[in-house]
Amino acid sequence: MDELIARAREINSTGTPHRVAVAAAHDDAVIDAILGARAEGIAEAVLIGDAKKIVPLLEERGAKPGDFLVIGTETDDETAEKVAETVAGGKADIILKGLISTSKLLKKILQAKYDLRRKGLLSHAAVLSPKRYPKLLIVTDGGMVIKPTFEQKVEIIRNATLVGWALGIPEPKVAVISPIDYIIQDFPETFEAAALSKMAHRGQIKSCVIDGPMSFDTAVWPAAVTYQGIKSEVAGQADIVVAGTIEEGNILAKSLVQFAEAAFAGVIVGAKVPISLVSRADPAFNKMASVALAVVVSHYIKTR
Amino acid sequence: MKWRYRVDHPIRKLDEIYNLAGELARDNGPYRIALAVGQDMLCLSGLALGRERGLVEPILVGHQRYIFEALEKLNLNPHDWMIYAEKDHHLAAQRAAQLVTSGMADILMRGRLLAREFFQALFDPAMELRQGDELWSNVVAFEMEGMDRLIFLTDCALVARSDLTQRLRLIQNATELAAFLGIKDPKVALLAAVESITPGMPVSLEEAAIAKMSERGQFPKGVVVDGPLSLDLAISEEAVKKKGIESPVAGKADILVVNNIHIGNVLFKSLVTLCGAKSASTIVGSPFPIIVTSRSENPENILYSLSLAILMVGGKGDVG
Repeated sequence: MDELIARAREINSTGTPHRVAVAAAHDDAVIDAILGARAEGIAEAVLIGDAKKIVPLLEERGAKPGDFLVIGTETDDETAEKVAETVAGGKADIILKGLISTSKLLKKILQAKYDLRRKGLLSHAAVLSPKRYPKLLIVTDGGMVIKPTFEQKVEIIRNATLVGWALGIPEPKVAVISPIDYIIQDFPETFEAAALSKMAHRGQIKSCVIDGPMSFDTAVWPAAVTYQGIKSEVAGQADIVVAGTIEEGNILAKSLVQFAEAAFAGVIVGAKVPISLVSRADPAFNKMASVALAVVVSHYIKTR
Repeated sequence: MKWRYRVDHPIRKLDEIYNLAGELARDNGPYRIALAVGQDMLCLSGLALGRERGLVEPILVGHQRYIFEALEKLNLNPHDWMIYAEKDHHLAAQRAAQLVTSGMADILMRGRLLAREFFQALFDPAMELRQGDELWSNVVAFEMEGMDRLIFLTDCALVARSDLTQRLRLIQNATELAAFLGIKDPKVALLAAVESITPGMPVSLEEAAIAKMSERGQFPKGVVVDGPLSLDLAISEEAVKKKGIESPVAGKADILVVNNIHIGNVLFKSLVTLCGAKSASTIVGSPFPIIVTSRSENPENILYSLSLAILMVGGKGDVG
């Protein structure tokens, strides 16, 4: 995860600095994220929201409000509109969600006139660094799509793969998770997993290797692979794990944060700019890491 | 099954279960355990360790030649082991269960067959193991670094998807096991992705309804249930403080309940692999203790499941 931060710092220091448009910045969690990111030299910020609250939040933390562009707004709709305008006008590269509902924000941003939409689905990818895993692990989707259909899983994989590429993994290994490693009639998602795997074989989903159905231990734990005798390019060394539902993805990611000493960075991908969400409950490092991840993804989208 | 053994204080570490089981085995002799489809290297190495420590006396039911090969690979002498030859998986599971019902064994353990095949064999009506509306469920007790208590999780292995009624039974089974281990006033968290009630997530409505039942006193005295709760809010007081939510369970959960096996399974596997948790797994609701281990466990970990099963059988002199 430190490499991710370093990479974001490197990107930010060459060329024009990356700028974050903060939607409804009158929220301590996003202010902490922004101050953390700025202190690390990762990104600058445009703070959009209730200026009367934003300024004291900055001052309380010893920051100078003059270092930031603050755009005062009164309603959520106005906030969302200003954010969309700021990003569409090229004045920011990343969106960070503050005290505004995700759906309200996205509805506005994705309006055709702003041209921020791509044709695919928006989905969430969490990048984690479990202590016992030799590399970063991307878990998707624990934050956005509640119960993806087959088509949506394809999009979720494409989005997470993009994050993998941005992190410097040329061909991410994707495991589609299920309780068992076999195709079982009662579990329709095992069919879907098999089909997704085959789609990658056939080149329908590019520049990644997909395997599934695969249980989580088979995906990340070499001892389980040996025991099971499974032959797979993904097993035991997955870069991306795809969960069946938002609960599965969310609880898995949180278990790694709570018990595997993993740092966590999250991002919504699928639009022309990455969108970050941070939670009040996130430690300061994770909030900053989420901004760093968005910088790395944004840079990748722009330069690929 | 009846819980005859009495634990007089809340168990906080799996080693306490192991020590109590050790005492029982010293007083009563090793407990006899029937391994269904015995040609499983991991189960065999766990059982070998359990036998070495005087906890269990295994009976292996399965493909005789494969069992021999597996034992030899582990440098164990096949002639030291009691083996019932039965090549068919379904029949081996049933034969192993019959060893327990006929009094020749105390505990049943799943070997090298899929959990679903194993339970299908046991739920065969001819076996008469499950009565009427009984719900058997899987409960796992975890010990994790930095936690001052055991965390119970249900269901990771057996109940594929629970409706409201079944969820209540899952809670009942898990609280009974917790109470058996001395945790008389367990706090139960119903897990979800977020703590808010979200119409797009029907599970959150169900969980809210169950939480309200708890508020209304519809659970046995001492049991407190709340949900929906995200995992961090369920177990981390720090997360609760930062989020500022009010809940009798948040930050203090003993039992985590998930609504389907997909979530339970991925959480279980995350905990035992990347999170380095120790675990003891059992089935609650069945007429005798059943062990379903996971291949991500190591033989030492299997000792905890064996120990829990021994406690559940109890001592010969214990009365219900």
